[in-house]
Amino acid sequence: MTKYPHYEPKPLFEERMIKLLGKEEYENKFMKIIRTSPPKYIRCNTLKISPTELKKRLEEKDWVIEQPYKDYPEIMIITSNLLPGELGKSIEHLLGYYYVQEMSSMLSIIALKPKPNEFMFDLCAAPGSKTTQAAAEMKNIGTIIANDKAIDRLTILASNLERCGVSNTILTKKDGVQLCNGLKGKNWEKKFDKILVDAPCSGEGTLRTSPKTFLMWNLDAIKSMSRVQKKLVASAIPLLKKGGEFLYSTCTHTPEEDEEVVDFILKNFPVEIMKVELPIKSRPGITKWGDKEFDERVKLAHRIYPQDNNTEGFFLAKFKLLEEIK
Amino acid sequence: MIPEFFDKKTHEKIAEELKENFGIERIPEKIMISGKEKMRAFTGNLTKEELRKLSEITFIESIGLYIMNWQNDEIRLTIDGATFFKDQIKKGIFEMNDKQFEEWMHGKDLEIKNEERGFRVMKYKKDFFGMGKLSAEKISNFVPKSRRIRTMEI
Repeated sequence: MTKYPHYEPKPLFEERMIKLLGKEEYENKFMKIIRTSPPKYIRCNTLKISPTELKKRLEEKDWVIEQPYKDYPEIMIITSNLLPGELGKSIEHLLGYYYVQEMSSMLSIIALKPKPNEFMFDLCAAPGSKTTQAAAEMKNIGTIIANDKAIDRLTILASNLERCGVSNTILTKKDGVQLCNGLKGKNWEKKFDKILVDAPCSGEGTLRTSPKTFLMWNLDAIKSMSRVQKKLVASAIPLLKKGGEFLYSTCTHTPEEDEEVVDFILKNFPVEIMKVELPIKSRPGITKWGDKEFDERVKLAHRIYPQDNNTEGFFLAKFKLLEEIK
Repeated sequence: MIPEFFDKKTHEKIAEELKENFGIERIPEKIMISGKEKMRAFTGNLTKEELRKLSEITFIESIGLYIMNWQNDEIRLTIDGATFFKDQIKKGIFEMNDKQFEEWMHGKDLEIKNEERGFRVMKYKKDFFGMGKLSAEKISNFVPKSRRIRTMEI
């Protein structure tokens, strides 16, 4: 496995993770796996090729392919050693036959289950891994509005959508809260079947591929992110139709950005939190953090730790809107 | 972008061109103009009116998939456009050998003498790689820089 530059976690990070995991698990499991790179996951782009055909083509290049999840044959791991950058240089990648996407990042769409003919909103869409996955689930039928506010990230999103042959998506560039406010105005009536807020976050879950996150980590940023996340979800949820579904996800472990946001949603909106079946091991959301106590239903959220499945870290919770918000 | 769809007559003309030149029988209902010559296909189910309203609420960066260019009454499919129609393309194809394919994906023109003129869909084994323009001495390459590869194994 690739060894990345060694960055030391800050004492407060350690203290908080020990609170979440216990000292033994933090030191011997979490920190051990954080120092290694995750497996090379790809997702077959079923808009262009079947998993069977892609696997055959990649095996002809002497790549060793595993499909670890029977119900998700599109999820593959390349277990053979590849040259640096080889995964992104192959003809199959260039043609958009697969997307390099870490397993935990696939969970948002696995949980949200977008279907053909639905109207979906992906509020923080760049770089496009989840948008392209959603378009594949929808078979390019139905509509996705994919938004991001940063032009550099939007360029990458646009290029990934083109490469993957996504033809049912409208790409918008606007601050997420402002766009939601616009869609609540009198000029727009159509409500969404599905909304994904894969929120900007402190990124603790990506430490295996971005160890520099250790350097940037600080509590002020976490608190600030939490406020942004609450604004985003509060703006987006009223855009759902009655019975519509909302998926909140982050790639971090901080309760301020995870359970606290879920608790905020449960306390402020007419929603129920839904049970979700995931193909990998997850742990329930926590109901107490410091002096904060969260709604018991927060337990239905999913914490994904790297050491449980040899993936990156992740968090998600799914909701159903019980009555339309005027 | 403000969505601007082709009228019925132009849509029919595009369909005819694609059928005559490449054997493509079915094209998406919603094809729009983006910039001067770019054409994008949208398979979503928002109506044209809803798209117009959305463009009043926010700047729309793009809609659907960039599938072709239309210059001087000639249609040129993009790499993604050729892949989009790959199950329907039956003619107007240039099949590349291994050496030609490698040159093509490096962005080079293919030095080939041609008696015919016009655009051809460039094919290697089962896959399509956009279009090339035939002239007397070569096939001109339109593979954008971002889709070329520097080193590759066939």
